[in-house]
Amino acid sequence: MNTREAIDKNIDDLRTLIEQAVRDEQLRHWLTGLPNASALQEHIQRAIRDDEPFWLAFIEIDKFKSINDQFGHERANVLLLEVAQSLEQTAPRFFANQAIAFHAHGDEFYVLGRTHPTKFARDEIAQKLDTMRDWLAARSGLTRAIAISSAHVGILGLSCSTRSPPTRTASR
Amino acid sequence: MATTNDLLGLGMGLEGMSRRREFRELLAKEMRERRLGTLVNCELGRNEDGVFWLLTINHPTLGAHPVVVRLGHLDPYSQDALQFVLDRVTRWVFQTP
Repeated sequence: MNTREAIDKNIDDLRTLIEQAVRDEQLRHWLTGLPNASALQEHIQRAIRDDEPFWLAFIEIDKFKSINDQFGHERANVLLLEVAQSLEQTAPRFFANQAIAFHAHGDEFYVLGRTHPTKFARDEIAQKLDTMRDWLAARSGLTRAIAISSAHVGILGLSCSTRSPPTRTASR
Repeated sequence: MATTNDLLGLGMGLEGMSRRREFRELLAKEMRERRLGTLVNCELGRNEDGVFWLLTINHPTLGAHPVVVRLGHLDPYSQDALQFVLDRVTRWVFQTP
């Protein structure tokens, strides 16, 4: 490889790295750094395409708008960061690295898991999510200070087959 | 031995499952006919503000998305709720870039 070819290769490598970095950035939430709505869309799309069953939990912070109104955006953002950080740490721990946390919009978070949603798995997921939600609420000092502590967890058991698994929804 | 409460609970659970299945089938059919995408699944959630449906929709051009439709105090399985959800999904389809 001559000097010119070596330079071209370096430029190509650099371009690839930059494109990858830009793409990674596009798939992360601007505030919390968690994978964002576009990343979630890609994960769901891939699971459907590959016919891989998965479950989806929706998590939002109760009365988040009132937190914003009462304490301002900066405090509300700190709360979002705390929840995001806790979710990012706890989701893989509770679900043995089979779950990823996403920050879609505002105070809307999702956890996507790849466990097959049989009835047993759904009950187990519901229990774990309940525990995780309580853990999240207890861990966030800011949440306690504002006295708004409950996030909602709804479970979407999802099978790509035509069979519909039994429903289980956890809520608080 | 199952108590009366257990049996009542079981009955209510089965009724809920049946209503959910019926709602889901109707919603999926309407979405298909209106070309709003494929309903992959829908699950009922509840929080302090009331109930909501968490839908996963696979749209031919928009891709797969979760969509949350908050119902407030509507009966989640009612005809009104079905219409409300369809309106929201229609709006979502036309507003998503």
